[in-house]
Amino acid sequence: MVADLAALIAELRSILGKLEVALGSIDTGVVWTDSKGRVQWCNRGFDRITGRAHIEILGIGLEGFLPLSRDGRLVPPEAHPLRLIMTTGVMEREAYQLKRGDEVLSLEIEGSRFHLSEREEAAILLVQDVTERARSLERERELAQSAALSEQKRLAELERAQLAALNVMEDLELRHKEIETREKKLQETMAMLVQAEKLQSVGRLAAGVAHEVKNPLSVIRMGADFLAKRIGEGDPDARQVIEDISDAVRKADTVIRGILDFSSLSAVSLKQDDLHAVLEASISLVRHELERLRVKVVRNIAKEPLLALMDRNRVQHVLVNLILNASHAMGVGGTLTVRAYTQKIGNAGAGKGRREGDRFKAGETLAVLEIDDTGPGIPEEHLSKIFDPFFTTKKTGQGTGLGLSIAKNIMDMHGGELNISNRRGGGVRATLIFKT
Amino acid sequence: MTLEELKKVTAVPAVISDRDGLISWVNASFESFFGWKSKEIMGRPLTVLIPKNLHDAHHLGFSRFLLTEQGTLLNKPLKLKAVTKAGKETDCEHLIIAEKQDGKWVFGATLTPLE
Repeated sequence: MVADLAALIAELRSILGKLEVALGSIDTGVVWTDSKGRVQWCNRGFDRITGRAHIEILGIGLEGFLPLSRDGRLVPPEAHPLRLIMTTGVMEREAYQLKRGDEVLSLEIEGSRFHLSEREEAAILLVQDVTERARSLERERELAQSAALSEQKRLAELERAQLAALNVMEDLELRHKEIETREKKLQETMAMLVQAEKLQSVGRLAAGVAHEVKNPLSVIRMGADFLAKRIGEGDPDARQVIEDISDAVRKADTVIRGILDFSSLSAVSLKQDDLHAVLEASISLVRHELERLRVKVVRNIAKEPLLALMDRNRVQHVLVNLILNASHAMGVGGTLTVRAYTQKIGNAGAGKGRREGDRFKAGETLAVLEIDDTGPGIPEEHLSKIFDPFFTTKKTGQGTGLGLSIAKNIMDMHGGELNISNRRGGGVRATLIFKT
Repeated sequence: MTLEELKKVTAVPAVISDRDGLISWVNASFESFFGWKSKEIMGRPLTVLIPKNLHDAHHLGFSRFLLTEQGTLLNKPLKLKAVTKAGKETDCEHLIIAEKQDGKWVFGATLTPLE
């Protein structure tokens, strides 16, 4: 009987020894406590985690011996894994940190409560040291973060480069547009020069012809006058023929004088004069024609003089031409509105701007005269030709087609401008710009 | 220290047990401090000297040693509690030794009271 008991004890000892060896050989820390939380046993894994020999731990309260923290905050006693296990019976794996000397261990703890007897309970905790794994994950996270930052930085650099490229492209586009504008301007200037050269050639040719025709024409006119006197009131048919000849000679003379005027425009004598006074004098010159056509003249003009640099006679010639043109365009009962004012040139504008070669300079004060009629306006297809010599829409014999050419030449010689355009509300506006 | 030397210790309590953990010898100092007469304690398990909450650890460690013959606590002073006959737990410095005699392990210890 005693021998059997001894053998049984030996067998139990063997089993316990094996269990101890088995539990001691695993990395996971295993610790069990009594119902009061005092350590009853722990394996070597737990020794390694705590850095203390198990013999030193036995009997010690686990909560005090194992101060845990989560997210950098110390876990309060009521939330300690041991307390949770004793309260709830079981605890799934949770992450904690344990300060051991200078290092902080990352632990994963789980456990359960079990009954030793009706009155006695115990808790068993499995503690896994995952510090290396956590560090590895942290390193991976840092690497990923670093890679993300690098990528972010690279993208930002790429974005900056794209922005810079866009700026360069925009700059290039602007320069390209500027070059296009300059090129267009150059082409326009060249076209104007070619046109001017053509006009000069036409003018010279016409002047030559006019000179050659003028004297024979005088002979014809004198001859016609002589014959008219000889015939007297005699042969009415012959007299009618002579009158027709005289009339044709007068028309031809008008054309020739126009050609000579056009070709003789070489210089103007500029001095400051009152534009208002010149305008009034011009209106006065054509008063009879205005009255005949019952043209109403509206003046939007200040009382005080408007001084401008001009050759008075030439400008008067221009104004008479423009007023008559407008009156004839309106027919009977039109309204002619004249407006004069000064204008200071801003930074840019057609024909007036900041580029060298522009007719007017920024900041320059100009005198402006506008003449509006209430006529039918100028057909769009004619607008580009109205300043061409001999261009006219009047019936043959009613106009030489030189009036506007001469007027424009005169204004050009003044260093000014003559612009003619259709008004939105109908009619034509002639705008004369003078330097002051 | 050997078992022979242990048996000569008189200044501090000393105890010897067999391979089953049953007490086979104590000295006079032991009797005096722990309150047990030699005849009373002979044949009793060592756990009578160990606080109840350390019994599990004792059994497991003792069993592991018998199985592996690799000791982790031998021949070095250990501060542990011990229980007197009256049931009082007291801090003692344990120095545990083990020797094989006739092929069987015999264990001895001095239990120097620290209080």
